[in-house]
Amino acid sequence: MILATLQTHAIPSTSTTELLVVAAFYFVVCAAIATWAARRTRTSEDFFVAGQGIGLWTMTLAAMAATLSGFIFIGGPGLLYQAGIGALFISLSASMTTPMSAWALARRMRLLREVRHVITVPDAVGARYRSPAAQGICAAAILVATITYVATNLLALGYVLNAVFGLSLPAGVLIGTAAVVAYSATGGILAGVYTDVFQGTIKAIASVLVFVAVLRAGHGLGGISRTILAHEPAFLGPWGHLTPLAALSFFLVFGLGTLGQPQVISKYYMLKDPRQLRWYPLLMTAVLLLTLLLFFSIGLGVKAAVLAGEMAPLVQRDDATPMFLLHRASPWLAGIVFSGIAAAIMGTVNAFLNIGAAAATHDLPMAFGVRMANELRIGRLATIAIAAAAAVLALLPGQLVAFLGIFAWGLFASTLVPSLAIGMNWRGATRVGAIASMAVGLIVTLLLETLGFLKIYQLPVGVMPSGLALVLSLLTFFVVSWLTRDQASTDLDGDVQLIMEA
Amino acid sequence: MSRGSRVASVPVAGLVLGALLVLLSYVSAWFGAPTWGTWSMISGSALCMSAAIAMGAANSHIRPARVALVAAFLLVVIVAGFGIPMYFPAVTVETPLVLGLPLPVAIEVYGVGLLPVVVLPILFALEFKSDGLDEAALVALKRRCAAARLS
Repeated sequence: MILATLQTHAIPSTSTTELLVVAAFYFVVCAAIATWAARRTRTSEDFFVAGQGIGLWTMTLAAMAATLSGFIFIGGPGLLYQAGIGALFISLSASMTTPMSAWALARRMRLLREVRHVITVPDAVGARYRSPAAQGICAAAILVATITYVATNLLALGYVLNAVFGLSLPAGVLIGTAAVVAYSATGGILAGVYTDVFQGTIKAIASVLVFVAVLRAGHGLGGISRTILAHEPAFLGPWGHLTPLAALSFFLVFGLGTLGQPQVISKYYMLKDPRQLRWYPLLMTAVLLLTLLLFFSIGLGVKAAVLAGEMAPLVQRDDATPMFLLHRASPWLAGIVFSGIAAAIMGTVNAFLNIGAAAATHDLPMAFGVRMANELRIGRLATIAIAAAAAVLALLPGQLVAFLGIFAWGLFASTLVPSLAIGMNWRGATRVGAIASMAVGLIVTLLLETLGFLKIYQLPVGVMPSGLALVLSLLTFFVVSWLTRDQASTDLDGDVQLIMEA
Repeated sequence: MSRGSRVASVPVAGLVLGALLVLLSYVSAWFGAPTWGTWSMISGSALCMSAAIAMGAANSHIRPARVALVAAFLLVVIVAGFGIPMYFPAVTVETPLVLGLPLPVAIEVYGVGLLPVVVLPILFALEFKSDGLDEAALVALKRRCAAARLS
């Protein structure tokens, strides 16, 4: 499944004058915003949690930019083109995940920041269970997942720069890395969220424009469906070409797993006026659905065009978006969409670099009782180090990079959903339960993915390692917490209890 | 048993049962993925999602009846949205389209993928309690928390 989220093949060259103009404009605006924000970054709180806070629109667009990576523009439409409607199950839960996350976490995380001055997600885990060990394990899982996830995104960025500017892949990866590091290391999350506003807007506009272009080219959604049904009806069956279990696993992991995404959860710390949380689910859900239109429309539209003989069959599924832009969109729209792809990747990389740097320089030392003297300077250095490690990984053979990237999403879900999202809402949770569930999530994900990659053992079709790891870590959390229920009250500080009840 | 424990106990039970049903459906894949395995996955996923949303809503001081309504709504939408399409005949070029999609897929996409949008975020906004989030209340909360830590 997660392989589908990775771009590990070259994108067809799309270089045109119009595209170069739009792409150059995009990078200049990003650089200007980053320079402005970098000058405002003076403390580690500015660097990790945007200092005095941000407004609702900024938070919404930043959360969206961090959530929807390049997968929505490249891997997603490609997967839909290949697997049919079953691939859409990845995004079906978008209608319900933001209210779910906001009810479970938003208020409590924001108040925790107010009272305890926490700045990272592992900070919150440590505070919830009075446990530096829990904070350390959480930080270690986040750091591993971050490096691998950033590596896969940098590789995708390298391919985009290769297609637009004609750079070689190593040069594309290195220049892309340098561009993201330039604003991530100087301006931290403050630069990130303000570039995210621009990048998120580009993504949403690109998505709506493509949706309209696809409908026009295919004579409406009905015309596209009729063409597909005439040639390949199973594609539009209830599960597409996937098994029911595989499609439903997408829905569960991308639905419930949203509660464990640190790049989104950490945004709750940043909202200046917590009363504005009232409108966050409505805004975020609307923006998410608008941006997902591209994923939905290109997958279906390109399939119909290929089946009708209007486009040549794709050599590889990830070509769906580039081939649509080349053959059925204006060069200016192609420029906006490619900028949207770069925006999606850069927004995600920035968010994860910041989270990884915080885990390395703030949470891991705190787990050992150490507090860094100059967290801002160390944080900047850690951002560069993580980006460098990820860039090196990105230039390893593609299959290995894909394998490394597999861990990220499953690790976040299986380590953070029980310990943080449920732990912040259930006073019966215990420190031992949280640590055991994080350990199970980490081990099961690594073990199953490694066995599968090395072809030692393949799970039956439809059983997703991250889905299995998620339910096993959930059950471990509840069983161990129940077995150690006598410690539940002593594992919870009075002030955290007040926050949970506030 | 405190109020906090009571409001959390039902969603916790839902999450445990939901996770067990998902696990059962994964186990069924080793035995040829029978139809009951699909139903186990549908009901397990629906229970997990409903229980997670109910847990957060219940702890946000929303009236129990509304929490139950939200959880029931989500449960029905997911179970019906994924369960009903299983019993339609295979789609063909003759299958009626609803808003541009074959009926079974339209139930999934518009039912599960869009219907909750007009209910959940709006209910969240209507039920959102901003008491305790203004500056004065935050100062008071910090004071109470400091006292709680010392005690």
